[in-house]
Amino acid sequence: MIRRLVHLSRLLPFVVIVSAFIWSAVTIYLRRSEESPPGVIVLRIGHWQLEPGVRDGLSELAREYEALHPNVRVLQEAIPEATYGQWVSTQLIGSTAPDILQIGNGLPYPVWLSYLSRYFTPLTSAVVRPNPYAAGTSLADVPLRDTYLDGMRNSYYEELQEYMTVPLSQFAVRIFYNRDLLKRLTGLNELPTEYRAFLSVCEQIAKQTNERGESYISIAGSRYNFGMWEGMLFDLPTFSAYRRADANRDGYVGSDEMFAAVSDGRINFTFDGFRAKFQMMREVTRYFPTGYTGLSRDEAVFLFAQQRALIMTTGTWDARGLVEQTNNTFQIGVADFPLPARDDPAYGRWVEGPAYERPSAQFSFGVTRSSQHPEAATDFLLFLASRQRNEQLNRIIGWIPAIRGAAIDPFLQAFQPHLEGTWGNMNINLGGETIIRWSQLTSLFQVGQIDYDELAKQFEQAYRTNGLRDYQDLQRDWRRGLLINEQMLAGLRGRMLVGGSDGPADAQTKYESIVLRRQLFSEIGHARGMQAVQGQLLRSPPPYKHSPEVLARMKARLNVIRPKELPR
Amino acid sequence: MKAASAVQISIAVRWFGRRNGMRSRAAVLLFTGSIIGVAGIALLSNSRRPPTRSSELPTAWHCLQFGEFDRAVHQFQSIAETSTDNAERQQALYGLALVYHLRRPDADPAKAAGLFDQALRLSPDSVVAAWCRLGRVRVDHLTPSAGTPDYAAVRAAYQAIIDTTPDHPAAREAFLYQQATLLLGNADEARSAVSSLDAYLSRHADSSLRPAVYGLRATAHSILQDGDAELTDRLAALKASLEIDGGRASDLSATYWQIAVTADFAAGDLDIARTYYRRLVDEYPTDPRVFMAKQSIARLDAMEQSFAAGGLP
Repeated sequence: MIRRLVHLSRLLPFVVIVSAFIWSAVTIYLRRSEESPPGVIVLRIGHWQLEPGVRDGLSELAREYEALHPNVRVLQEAIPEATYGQWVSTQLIGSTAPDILQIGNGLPYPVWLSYLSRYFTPLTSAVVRPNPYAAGTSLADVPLRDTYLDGMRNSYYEELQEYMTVPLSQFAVRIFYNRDLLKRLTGLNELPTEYRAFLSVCEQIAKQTNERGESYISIAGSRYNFGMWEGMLFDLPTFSAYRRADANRDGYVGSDEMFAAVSDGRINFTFDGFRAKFQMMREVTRYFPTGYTGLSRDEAVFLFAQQRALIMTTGTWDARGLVEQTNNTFQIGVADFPLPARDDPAYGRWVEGPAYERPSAQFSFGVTRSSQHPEAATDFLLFLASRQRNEQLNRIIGWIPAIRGAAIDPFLQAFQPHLEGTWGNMNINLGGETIIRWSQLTSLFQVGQIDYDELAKQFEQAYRTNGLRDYQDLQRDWRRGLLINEQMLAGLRGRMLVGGSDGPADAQTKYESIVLRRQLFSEIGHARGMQAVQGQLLRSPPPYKHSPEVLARMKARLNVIRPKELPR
Repeated sequence: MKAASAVQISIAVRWFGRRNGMRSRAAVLLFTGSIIGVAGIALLSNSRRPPTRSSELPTAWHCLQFGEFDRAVHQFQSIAETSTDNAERQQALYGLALVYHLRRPDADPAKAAGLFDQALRLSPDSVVAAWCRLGRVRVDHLTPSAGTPDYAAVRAAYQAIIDTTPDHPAAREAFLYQQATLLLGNADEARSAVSSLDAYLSRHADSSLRPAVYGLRATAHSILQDGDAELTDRLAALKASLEIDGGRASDLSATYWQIAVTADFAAGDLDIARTYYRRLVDEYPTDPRVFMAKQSIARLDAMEQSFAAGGLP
C-alpha cells in the first residue's frame, strides 16, 4: 500500500501537468463555445483606437447588428497603436488575423499596399452597388461609393485598381474656446467668426489679468497650432495667384509654375495677395504666447486647460479628449476660423472664400482573406456605413460621420467641412537652399525681426539666384516614380502571362489603366515643368485671360449652331 | 536528416532507460511521441507544398510587383536554373531582368539588359520575347547611363518592336511610349506625332488605346497652340473612354475641368466650357475646383451678356 502511494506520489507531477492541460483545454473550449456557440458566425474586428468612445460605439453597433442577425457575434480586439503594425504583420502572416482590420497605421504605405494585395479581399463589387442597409432611404439606389461625402476617394488604391476599405469617419480642424471665460472677459456667448471682430475680442482678452495678476493669453499658439492657422486662414489671400501663375490651368500653382511666373514677371513677392498673408499672420500671432515658435502642442494644451489661454485650434480627433483633460471645469465651445468680410479694406479683395476642406473619410477597415466569413464581414461594414448607423456610431465616438446626410453631433457642428472654398497658392518650395532661406526669413518675420518688405526683398534675390538649380536638383530623381509604376506593370504583366487568380482579363484592364493614367504623360509633364522654369514656355496672355483671338472666336461662335451631342 | 533524428531518439531512449528505469518510461514515451508528432506535422505540411514550378511563378511576380525584390530574385533564379521547360525558364529570366532593372537601391541596368537578351535568345518568337524587347528598350529609356535618354535611338528601338511584332500588346505599348517622346515641347516633333497618331487612329478605329491616342494628340495640338483641335481631341478622348469602359472610370472630375478650361481659354467655345464646368459642379460637388467652376460659369454668363450687348468684355 505504502509502496503504491510512494509510486503514485512519483507520478504526481505528471498528474498535475496533465490535469492543468485538461483544465486549460476545457476552459478555452468553454470560452470559445460561449463566444461562438455552434452554428454562430463569429466576426472579429481589430483596430488601434483605444479611446473609450470608439470601443463603446463599435460595441453598441455590434449588439444592434447581432440583434438583426442572431447567428452572428462580433468581437473587438483593440491593440495599442505602438504595436499595431507588428501585431497586424504577425496575424496576417500567420493566417490568424481578425475578419476585419483597421487599415493605415503602424506600417509604411508600401507594406500596407503589399498586405492589402496579399491578405485582403477587394471590396469593389460591394462599393459599386447600393448599400442594402440603405433600403427605404433616399440612398436606396445609390452606389455605396456615392453615399460618401468624399466619394470613397481614399478607399481606392490606384496601384491595385480596387476599392479595398470601408471608411467610417471624417476629421477636421477648428477653433476651441473657453466659453465661460469668454463670457466673463468679454460678455460674449460665442466667439465672433468675422475677422475684425475676432481680433477685437483677442485684444480685449489680452488686456485683462487673472486673480494671480497674470495676463490672459488670447490664443494658445505653438509651432504645432501655427500650421493649422496658416492652412485655414493665413494662406487664403494667396489663392488668386493661380490666375497669374497656373500655367497648365489645373487649378493649382506648382513650384515650377511659381518659379516660371516670377522669372517672367507675371508675379513677384510684392504681389498684394502674398503681402496680405503676412499681414494677417502678424495680426493674429500678436495674440499667441511670446516665443510661440518654440512651444509644443502639449504646452498649448496646458495653457488652455489651465485657463491661462482662451482659444486653441485642434482637430475632431482631440475634441472629446480635450473635454476630458479640462475635467469639465469649464464649458468648451467650437467655432469656425474667422473670415474677413467682403468689404474688408485689407483682405476683402483677396479672401474669396473659406479654406476648402477636402472631405476625407478615414477610420477605414478591410476584410481579410483569411476570414471564414468574408460575406458576413463585408455585410457588417456595410451596416456601419449606412447613414443611420454611421450617424449613431460617430455620435457615440464624437467624430464626424462619413455618409451624406448623416447628422453631425451638435457639439461638432462647426466641424462641418467647407466643400466650397479656396487654398493657398504661394508655392515657393523648390527644395535646396531656396527653402532653407525661406525658413530662415519667415522665422525672422515670425519673431518680429524683419517686416514683409524685407522678407520679400531678401527672398526674391535668393529665389532668382538659386531657384533654377534647386528645382533641377529636386527633379533629378523624377524617374523614380516611373520606375515604381513600371514595377506595378511588371507584376500585372506577369499575372497575365501565367494567368492570375483574378484572371488575365482583369489584370489587362488594370494594366492599361496604369499605362494610360500614370505612365504615359509623366515624361511630358516633367519636360513642360523644366521648360517652364527655364523660361521656354512663355504664355501670353496669363493662363486665365483670353487672348484677343480667343475672344473674337468666342463671339463668332455664339451665332453658330453648337454640336448637339457631347460625351455624356 | 531523418537518419540523424532516429539515432538521437534511440540514444535518448537508452539514456533514459539506464538512468531512471521504470520511472522515466512515461517521460520517454512523451518525448518520443512529441518527436514523432513534430515529424508527422512536418511531413504533412511538406506534402501540402505546391509540387510544380509553375505555381511559383505567380508568387515571384507578386513579389516583384510589391517590392520584395530579394524574394523575387530567389524565386525567378531558382526557376531559371532548375526548370526543364523552356517557356518557363524564359519567363523566369525575363522576370529576373525586370527585378534588376527596377529594384532600388540596388538596380543594375547593365545586368538587366544582359538578362533580357539572354531570355530573348531562348525563344525569339515567343509571346514573352516581345515583352523582353520592350523591357530592353525601357532600360535605355528610363535609366539612361548618360542621364538623358538618346531619344532618337529609343524611338528607333520602339519602332523595331512595332515592326517585328505589330499585333503584340508590347508593340502597342511601344507605339504609345514612342509617340510620347515626340511631345516634349518641340513643335516639329509634335507635328510628326500628330500624323503618326492620325495614321494609327485610321488603322485601329476600335482600339482600346483610343483614349490614350486622342490624349496624346490633344497634347500635340496644345504644343502647336491649336486650341480648337486640342478641344476636339479632349472630347474624343472622353467619348472613347466612356465607350470602352461604359462609364466605369472612377473619377472624371479632372477630365471635365481640363475640357472646360481648354474650351474657355484655348478654343473660345463658351458653350462647351460652360457645359463641362456645370458637369463638374453637378457630378463632383465635393471636388476642390467646384468653387472655381462656379466663378467661371458666372464669368461666362457675364461675358455672354456683354457679347449680346454688342461689345467685348
